[in-house]
Amino acid sequence: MTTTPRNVLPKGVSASDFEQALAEIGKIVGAEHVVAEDTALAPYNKIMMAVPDEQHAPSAAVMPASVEEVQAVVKVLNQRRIPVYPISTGKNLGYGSAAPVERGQLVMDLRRMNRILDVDAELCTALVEPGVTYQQLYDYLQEKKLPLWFSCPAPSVIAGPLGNMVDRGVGYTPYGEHFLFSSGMEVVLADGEVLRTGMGSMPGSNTWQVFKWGYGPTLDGIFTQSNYGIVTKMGMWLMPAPPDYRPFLIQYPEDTDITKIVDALRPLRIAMVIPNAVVIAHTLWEAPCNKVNRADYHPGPGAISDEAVKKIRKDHNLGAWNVYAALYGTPETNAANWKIIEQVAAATGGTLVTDSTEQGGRATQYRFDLMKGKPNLGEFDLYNWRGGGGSMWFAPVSQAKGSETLKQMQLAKGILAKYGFDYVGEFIVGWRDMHHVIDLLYDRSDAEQMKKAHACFDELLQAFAREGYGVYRANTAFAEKVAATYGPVKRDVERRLKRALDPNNIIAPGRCGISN
Amino acid sequence: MDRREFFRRTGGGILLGAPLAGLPAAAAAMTSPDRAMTQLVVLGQADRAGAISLAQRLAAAFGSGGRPLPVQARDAAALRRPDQVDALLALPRGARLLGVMDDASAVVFLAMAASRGAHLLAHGHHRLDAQGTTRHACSATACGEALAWRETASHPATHVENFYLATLGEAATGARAPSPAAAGTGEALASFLIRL
Repeated sequence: MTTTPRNVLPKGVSASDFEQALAEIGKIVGAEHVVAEDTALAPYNKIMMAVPDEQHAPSAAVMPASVEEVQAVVKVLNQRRIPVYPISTGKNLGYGSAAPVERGQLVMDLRRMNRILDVDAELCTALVEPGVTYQQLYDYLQEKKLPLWFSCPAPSVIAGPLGNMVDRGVGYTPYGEHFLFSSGMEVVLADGEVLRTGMGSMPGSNTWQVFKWGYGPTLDGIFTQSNYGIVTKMGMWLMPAPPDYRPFLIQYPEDTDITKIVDALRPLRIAMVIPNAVVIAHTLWEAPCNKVNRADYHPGPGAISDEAVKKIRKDHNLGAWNVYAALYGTPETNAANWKIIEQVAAATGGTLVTDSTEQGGRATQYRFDLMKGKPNLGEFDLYNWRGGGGSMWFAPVSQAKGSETLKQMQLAKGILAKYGFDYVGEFIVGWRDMHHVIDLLYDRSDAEQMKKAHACFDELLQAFAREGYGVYRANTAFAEKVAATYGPVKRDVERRLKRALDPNNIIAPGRCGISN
Repeated sequence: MDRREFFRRTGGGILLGAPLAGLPAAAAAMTSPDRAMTQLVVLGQADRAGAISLAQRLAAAFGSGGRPLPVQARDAAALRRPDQVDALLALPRGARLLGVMDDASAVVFLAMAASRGAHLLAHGHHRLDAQGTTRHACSATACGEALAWRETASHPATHVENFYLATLGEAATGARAPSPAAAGTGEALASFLIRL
């Protein structure tokens, strides 16, 4: 731990108070697990957000190894009113990464708490700590030869299930609504007290990971996308590996096909013929993941033209829309359902692809892997599309109806083009909802593009809000603005909860727009 | 090394407006390592010609006695596999690794390195346009603001080499690579220097 003068301090905290706090914390976790040197803090700087680094610069980072250490550290911070920003693995890159929501917050990095505490192969449940990565859990299940799957998001090799669930992330297997398939949390509150939700509160209960609800109000939800506590354990349901897994891709030639695609697939999704979220990826989502070089088609500035996009489709055998889903079941049930899929593809003019080595190639393989919960990093090629590696996810939610799609796409495409950015989007059809995920890709080494990307995201947010579309997740630079789109009453209730649970406003003030 | 010295050594270039003033202090703040004692590994992405070329330039600059450091080459798939990244990072504490790769691989590699406690000393971005001009933007962690400049094929410079040397508080003593980065049109690359 360094003792050199610090140029970033928590809001309202003097350098000497902060030094004293770090010294006390060092005694709890070990001085080597308190980081305050610039180069060591670099991983906690913002990565993708189109704002100056200073805006989200951490003051220091601490890495506790147990819930007891978390409690003790929180007590010190609460006493000294030092804001803390907890992260699990901190790899939600397009949503803010490990950087604190406000400058000067002390990052509590929970990566040392990385134990898989329990896997019950009969009940298909797991209990994990925040630092456990999906890759770690995958390796564990493989090593133990347990026929269990889980759902993971695209950056799954480096991300973890607890952080993703707390941020209400989603994945691609039938268990893709991660919060829905969680069961039980352990939470350290701002005063250092430990709460176990659901059945976990009851002494002697062995049902923490099987019955989420417990008795009385269900509290789990208030610890997701919030700052009311620090989640230190999470139960999750695992999926028995199906005897038969049939992933598929259906490619469609025209942008306008999206309307009929959604209307044809929604009934299958609601009836659970297709039990996982249906991903409908646009050409420009597929292109970078198939190693297409943007400059070969559009060497100049500004957004890529529709003609160039059509040429990419032709040259690389990509659809205007590329539908990914899977069947999970026995060979018999899947054979029966497969006929339905074939009929739907034929009736809607789609080309069915089942072999990942056929058209689609690399992108198809990583999608097929994700839909069976096999971690990979295939989607990271998106960062090569524009050059400069900047990426911000814009993710409005709508009803799963075809009529919503073109309207949203045109609205987004127009705004993106105005700022010189490409429409790189996908629709994800859930049980009744649809997420429209747009990756705003820009060059983060170019100050001018940074400014444009920020302004573009802002305009997307406001324009979609005016149409009644709220986003389900957003990067931390826009937390306040996104929260504002949901209206004053909800925010007031959130503020009252914050005052009750964290009166000194020490846990991630500003996260999701919640503060005292 | 100050702004004037930077240009004197590199023979010019078009600076895009970022101050160099913080760099000498940042460089001085780093303990200038004894080259004989501190290991430096240069890593380039094998399936990106521009990455290998730039890695070779840097390897030449960090070499001694006219002999460049060896460049370790790995393809994109290897740079994103935890076991292979672990193997690359299995270096003594204090060793440094200078990497050149595409943006996606760099994000993944740095995320994995950070999880293993690596310190990020500096990073850069390099983009070749259709006219053959490379735009460089580099930033030292301890310095903050990025330096940006353009390098033309007809007037290759050693700004990138000097930037990384300055980050470690070293002067250019190594051999000069024979040619500038031979990146493809529109190719964008990331570089970084980490300490384990």
